[in-house]
Amino acid sequence: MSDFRSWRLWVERRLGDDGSWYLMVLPKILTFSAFLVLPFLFTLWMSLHEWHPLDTTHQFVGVANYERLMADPIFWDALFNTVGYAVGMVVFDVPIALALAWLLNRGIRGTRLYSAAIFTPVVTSWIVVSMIWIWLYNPDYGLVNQVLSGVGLPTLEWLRSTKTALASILIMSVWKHVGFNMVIFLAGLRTIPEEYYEAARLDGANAWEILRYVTLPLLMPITFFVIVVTLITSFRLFAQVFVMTGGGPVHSSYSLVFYYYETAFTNFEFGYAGGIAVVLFVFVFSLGLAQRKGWGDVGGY
Amino acid sequence: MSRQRHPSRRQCLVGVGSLAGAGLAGCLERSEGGLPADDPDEGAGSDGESPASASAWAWNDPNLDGARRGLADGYEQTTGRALRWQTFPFGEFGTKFTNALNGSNAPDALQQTVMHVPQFASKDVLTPASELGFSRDRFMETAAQNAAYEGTMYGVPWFFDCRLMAINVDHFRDAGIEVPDPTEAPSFETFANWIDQLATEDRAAYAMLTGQGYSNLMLCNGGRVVDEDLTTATINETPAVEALEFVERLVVEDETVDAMAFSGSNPVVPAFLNERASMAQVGSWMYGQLKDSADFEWQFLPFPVGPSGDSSHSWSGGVYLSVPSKGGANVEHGRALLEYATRPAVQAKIVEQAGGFPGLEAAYETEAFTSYIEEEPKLETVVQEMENTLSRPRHPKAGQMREAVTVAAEKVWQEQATPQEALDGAATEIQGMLDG
Repeated sequence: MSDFRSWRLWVERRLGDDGSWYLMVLPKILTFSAFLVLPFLFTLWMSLHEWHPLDTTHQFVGVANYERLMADPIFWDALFNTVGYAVGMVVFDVPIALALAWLLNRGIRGTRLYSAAIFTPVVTSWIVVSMIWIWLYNPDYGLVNQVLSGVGLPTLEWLRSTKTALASILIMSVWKHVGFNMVIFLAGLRTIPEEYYEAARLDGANAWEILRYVTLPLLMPITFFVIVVTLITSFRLFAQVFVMTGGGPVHSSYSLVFYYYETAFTNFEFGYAGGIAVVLFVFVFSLGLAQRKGWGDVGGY
Repeated sequence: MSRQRHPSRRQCLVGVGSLAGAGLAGCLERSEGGLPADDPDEGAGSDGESPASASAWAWNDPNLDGARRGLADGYEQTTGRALRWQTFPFGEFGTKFTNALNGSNAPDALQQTVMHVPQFASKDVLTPASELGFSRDRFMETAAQNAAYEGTMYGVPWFFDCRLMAINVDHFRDAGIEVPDPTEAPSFETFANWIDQLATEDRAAYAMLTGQGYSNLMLCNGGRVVDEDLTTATINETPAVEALEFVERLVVEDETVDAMAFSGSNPVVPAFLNERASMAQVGSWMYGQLKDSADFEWQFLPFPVGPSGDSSHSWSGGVYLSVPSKGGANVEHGRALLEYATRPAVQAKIVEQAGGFPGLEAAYETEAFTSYIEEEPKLETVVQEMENTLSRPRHPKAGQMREAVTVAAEKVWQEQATPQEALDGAATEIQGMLDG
């Protein structure tokens, strides 16, 4: 009994009265280490080797995979496509989501119905949505070209042209994802105290001034979060490319993750694929750090 | 009294995280060491199957379900042992098999494509057919080649196939074109004339897959992807460039030929069946689908022969059965399946079941095969073209070579490069694969 008491005293003195903190984070630490940190370190290790999964030995090649990566035109195509796609998602998805949230926050009739309709694509599988949009984008009989020709606009090749393949995927992705950001913005808008709006109206501000000087600044933390999450999730572009274009035509819709998948699971070049994965990680991690530093203390007023 | 040092919070967290990592390190031993040493004759089969049953893996293909069931039934009758087929999405099939080899739960037998065979044979995970008692001279030469790597067969052909054209005879008559003899290959010039006459505003004269559509015509003009020794890329030599220039005019300038990308499914056959194309690049295994779904008169036709070509040719494909040599596969169970699948009577039925042609020479002499061919006169073209079909390069990176040719063709269709430039790029890429 005295041993137990002295042990308990030791725990309380060293770990604080609230030792449950450790118990609460323990599962996360274990899972994080086992399923993220360790696989990443192993991927880094593989990237320094010529690694085929069926080989019994793997030749250490140092940074040769990275040198090959830097000289690989397909990698650069994939990188530029992925960055372009991510920037496109931020430029189009975020403002559209904010606008939709702002409209729905005005208390118009049918808000719940509109919210549900806009959010439904978010909960639909990427694979299903991609397969539907393949048909919508068909240049010969797809609905999109039929609508365009119906209103007198020129039709496009969509997924069949290097000029429009990635943009087609972007449009579909914005359509599917905008509801997610809209819901976040809507929640943010509803946390802004009504007193600020009253005060602004009393001071004679019009709708645009209220939006610019009251709503947007107070929404800054939410906006920052939405932009960061949209950017990071955009770098995971894969399902749409896999289903809709296979990376073509002529690698115009290749993404980094798709290139990684093809290199690893079609060509079985695990070492080279590991290099792609490491570069992708470094890129996204650096982006997150730079954004955090650039935005500084984001907190509205 | 000295103060004892105790771990800080950070040290506790790092320690716990390291323990988690170390705990998993034991699970990685096998990956580090490659394939585990195992005894493939240790009777357990795969996936925990009892010795009383065998397992075989295949990719999802509804067209082969009936044929696989037939194999399972016949296998059980002849061996007294049940055969369980497991299917996976095609894109994951290679990975599944690789993981199974590493995890010692490989199937006793598996289906493979012509691309899979050299990929896995080069890693020494397939049992040579000769060790299972199968002699190469029993099989059709192209079929045997398709199942081989470096001259050794690593599987047996269940069936093999060819590519050729399907034409809408009604469209030919409407355009005033004499319907061609189904066994006579037109010239490039004749083919181009047909295209000019058949194309309309709403309809392409010919529909083909982006890369395969070109590469089959390249073969017909005497072009090749690599030389026979697999040392030099030849895709940018004159015959291949000529063929691409020929198709470029039709696809890019005249827009009378529709080069379609394979995205999830083959779009060419639906285009042909919906009469949005008068001719189409098809596979011999599509005979059943065309027969059941076309509501117009149609026939097969060999690909056109180019000025530098000697005959109509096409790439050969098909399905091959192999027995893993590692990963816990029961070699005897697998051998029994291959033996049953290559019986003349079983091979003879494959045309009707799956649309492919037997790999076994003796099957062509059986009553079942000859009478089926007589009942289906349209297959006369296929019988002829099966002798002209060519094997893909027997190289582990044959799939990547095919992709390089497809991208080269796409560059031309997208007007990003001339045929010579595009094929020079493909040749450089393919040469890199050959050089290792």
